[in-house]
Amino acid sequence: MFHYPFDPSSLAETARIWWNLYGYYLLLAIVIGGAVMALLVGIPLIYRQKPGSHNPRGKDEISPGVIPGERGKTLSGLLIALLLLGVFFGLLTESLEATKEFKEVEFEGTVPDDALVIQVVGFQWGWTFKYPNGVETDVLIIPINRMIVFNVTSEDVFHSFSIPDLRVKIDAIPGKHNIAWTKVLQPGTYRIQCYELCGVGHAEMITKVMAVTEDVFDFWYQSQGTTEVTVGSTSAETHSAHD
Amino acid sequence: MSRNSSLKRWLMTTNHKDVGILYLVTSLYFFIVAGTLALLMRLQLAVPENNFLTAGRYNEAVTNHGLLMVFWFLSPLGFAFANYFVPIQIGAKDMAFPRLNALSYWLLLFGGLLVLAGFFMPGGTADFGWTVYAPLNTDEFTPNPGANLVAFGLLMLVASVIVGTVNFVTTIGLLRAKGYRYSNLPMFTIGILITVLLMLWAFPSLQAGLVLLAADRLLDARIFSAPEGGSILWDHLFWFFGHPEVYIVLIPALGAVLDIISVFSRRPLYAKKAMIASLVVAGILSYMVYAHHMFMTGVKTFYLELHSLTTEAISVPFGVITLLAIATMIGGLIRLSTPMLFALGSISVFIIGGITGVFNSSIVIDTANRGSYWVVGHFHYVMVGAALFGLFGAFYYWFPKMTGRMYNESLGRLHFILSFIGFNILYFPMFLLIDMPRRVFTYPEWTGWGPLNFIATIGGFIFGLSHLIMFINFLYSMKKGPLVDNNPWGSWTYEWLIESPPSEFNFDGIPIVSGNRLMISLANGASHNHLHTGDHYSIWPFAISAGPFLALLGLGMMVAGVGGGMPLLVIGLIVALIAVVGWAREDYREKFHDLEPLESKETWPFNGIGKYKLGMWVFLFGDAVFFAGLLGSNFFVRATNPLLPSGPEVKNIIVGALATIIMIASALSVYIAARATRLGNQRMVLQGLGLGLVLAISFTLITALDWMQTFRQGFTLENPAIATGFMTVFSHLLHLGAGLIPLLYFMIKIAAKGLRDGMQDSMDALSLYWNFLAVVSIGIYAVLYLF
Ligand code: HEM
Ligand SMILES: [Cu+2]
Ligand SMILES: [Cu+2]
Repeated sequence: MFHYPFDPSSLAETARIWWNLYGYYLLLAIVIGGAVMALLVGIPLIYRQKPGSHNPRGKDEISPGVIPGERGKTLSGLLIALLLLGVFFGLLTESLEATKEFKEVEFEGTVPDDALVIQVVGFQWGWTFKYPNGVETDVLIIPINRMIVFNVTSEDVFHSFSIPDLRVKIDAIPGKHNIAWTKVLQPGTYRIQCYELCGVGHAEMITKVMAVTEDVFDFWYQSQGTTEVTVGSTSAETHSAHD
Repeated sequence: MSRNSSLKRWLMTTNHKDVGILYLVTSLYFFIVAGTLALLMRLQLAVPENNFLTAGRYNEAVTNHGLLMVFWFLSPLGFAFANYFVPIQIGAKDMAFPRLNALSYWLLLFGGLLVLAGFFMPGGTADFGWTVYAPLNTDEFTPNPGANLVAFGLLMLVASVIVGTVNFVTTIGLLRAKGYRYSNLPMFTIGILITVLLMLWAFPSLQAGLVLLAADRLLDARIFSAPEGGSILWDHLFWFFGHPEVYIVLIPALGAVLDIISVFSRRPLYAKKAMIASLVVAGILSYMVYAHHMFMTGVKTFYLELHSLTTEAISVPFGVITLLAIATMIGGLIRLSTPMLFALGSISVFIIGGITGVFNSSIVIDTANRGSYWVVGHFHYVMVGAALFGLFGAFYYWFPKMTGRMYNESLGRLHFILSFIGFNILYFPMFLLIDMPRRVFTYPEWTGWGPLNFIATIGGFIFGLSHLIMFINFLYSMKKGPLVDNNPWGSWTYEWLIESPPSEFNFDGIPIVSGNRLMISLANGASHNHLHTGDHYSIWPFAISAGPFLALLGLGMMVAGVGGGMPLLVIGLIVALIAVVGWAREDYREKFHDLEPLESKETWPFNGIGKYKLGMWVFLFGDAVFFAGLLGSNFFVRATNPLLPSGPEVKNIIVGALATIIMIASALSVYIAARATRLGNQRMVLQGLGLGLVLAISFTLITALDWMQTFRQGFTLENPAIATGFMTVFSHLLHLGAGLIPLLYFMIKIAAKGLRDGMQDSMDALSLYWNFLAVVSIGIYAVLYLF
């Protein structure tokens, strides 16, 4: 039932970077969240007023018309803040590190020579993929083990180009060219979908990407996209090889 | 005044508690409307490839659900309690400007009705999502005429919020009981103060965006559909508002939750000052995190990383508050009554909402999350979870105060248990649906999203229907519940020291804080009370909101090609005009003149500043953001598209300089008039005002001629630099025109009746306003002419 690959790191470089970072966040979230939740449930149960108990601890400090006294050190707030800052600082450095890797292409502005640069154009409602040799398709076909750079824009409204399984996502904005990349590690068919509301056809703005071996890709590419391509046993309907 | 429930009372009331009840009923009404839309969407999504709603209907439902829930349910629910309880909690007899308070309410209601009217327009209503992304929001891509009404409704909402903000800041600033220090106030009131300050700076940004959008939709401008940067401009304007907005929705609830936790564990808040400091820090940071909504837009990575950092930073103050709230309970004597259950429930889901928010703060992780159901889960955990649970807890907490009767505790707990369980069944699956895009009306079966959606829908119905228990409980208990004494919870704040429900002016004497005791001094209470007779009804807040409502509805209908639009527009304008004159003539201020002399109140740090002047300062602080948003937009479109003409290529620098100097002179004249009021020199006052008037009109004429020249040169609104500039100037002139009304009013009044006591304060406010407009004209000159 759980369709989305929980650990997608074997599928693509981008997915691997994502997963490495996500692991940290998930771990900390579970540990910290669990601890705080335990306190939140535990403390009221421990200090609950028992039937007939009359303020046994003599700590009834709230009384009508009296401004409650100062309690606790203001400094303790700072202490907690520093503690949390420490945790987040750790997360942040990890996150920035990963961002650097993730946004490499965008940062450097340089694209490796052997990269395949594909123009992606979103429109109401579909996608066009344009290859350097002039081939235009509505199904994306890419080779594995090679840097793929997407140069994404839109003809009309805001869309968002995404291959969720590979952790690729970038907005398609009219008048703007945005860059995303991936490097697929295994042949397979993955869902491409729009992730920004773009009108009544938004839900149906789905297509697929077929990641194939270098040989198959070259063959298809040389033929100017006229040959039929299939990925192993995966057909178009089962969108992912990994579920 | 008889406190009956006649129609007259509800249409004309200006009493803060009545207005609070109006807010309460209205917000719950919109909760039901928007909740129904939500359940329709959940039905549609329950199974894959469902045909219950079409894509168009679904998009309309999603958009209006979001808008109504955020702007017409959650925020007004918080402000229902704020209206009712903030004046009492600070020891005041009413708001600083009771009539403006009623005005906020009617603007809100009529704005909401405009949004609903959108549904009835042929061709459909807004369907571009509550974020109204450009250029989908322009008439090119969304011709739906109903969308115009939604935009108008939002503009009325912004007006309501701004009026309310001015009122709350002035009230809390000037009307606290003598000796009541800010840090001693209950968390709820502190939360409201921080909330309105946030609103003051956030909403004008939305207002600027909407004004520009109106130009696009109605005047054939091309600002947001400009290929260069149009959509990104909207993103900036919207999210500069949108992120603080989520705290605006949250903080009133959080304040109430903290007070409830303290009372129900009988312990003072742990390190309350640190909590307040945390809220302030979070409030300030909230303006610097908004680009986390734009991680995928390809905006400069440095900017995004900065906002990634601030977003992680902003979770620190909220973490501090959460932990301190938990620390408060240690060693307490905790009663798990319904309000406390809701308060704890609110904190617990807030923890999940907050932690999932930290995931979104990382650019890399957000690559998976953006635009997916994970985000839907995250913000519902914060908004439905933390805010709704908190405010419903507050409702249970204050119910005995508002009605004098106790609700049924078993039904209250049942409501909590069912809604809490339903809530988690509804929203937790969404975190697992992280790969499902949001705002899709359906999905193919092979995606495998069916079962989780089905579970969510079941949870949705449990959650939605559970609230019926609350409605039944309250409706029954209001009439038949057991009577309670004034302070059933043993709370410490002012509202619990007075009767339930409170009398018209809350206190029989003068509230005074002495040491750490809240007191009501009866020293000369009797004579004081004497002044409180006479009715404080006014029909003008209603009429002043109904006029624009009719006019905008008429305009919307005309654009939609529906018959009857034109007459409605005309009637609406006439009503508005009559209402403005009526408002000005109503000798209202004297009716309230002595309600509470400022000498008997705590006014630090605004000692010696009149309420009109302070109110004007607050208003102008917000208005400055509005103009900054407009001028910033002009700057932005020109920076992103170097081909657009610069100022000197379009404008005549000399003419602009002349106009600006005239505007400055006009402001100086009004300033002199205000000074002369202080000196009691009536002639000089009239001369100053007269000169100011003439100069202001000259400024308007020169500006109008200058723009006609611009259009004659062949520039049109299709050029975004021209369109943004034009809307800025247009807004400035509208401000000036609106200012002419009080200016004329003062001239007539002073000429007829001479100078009066108490006029000083309002003349100061007028002069402040005029000076502000002069400063704006300098800004306009710098950006539109010179740059
Ligand atoms: C305090 C109450 C609530 C608030 C403030 C709220 C807020 C929102 C907002 C802002 C949106 C986004 C709209 C958009 O994408 O343009 C939304 C979407 C949605 N909400 Fe709510 N909501 C609330 C309660 C509920 C309830 C009770 C349910 C279910 C029974 C619900 C179900 C949904 C659904 C199904 C969507 C659409 C998701 C999508 O298609 O992207 N909401 N809500
Ligand atoms: Cu889309
Ligand atoms: Cu945000």
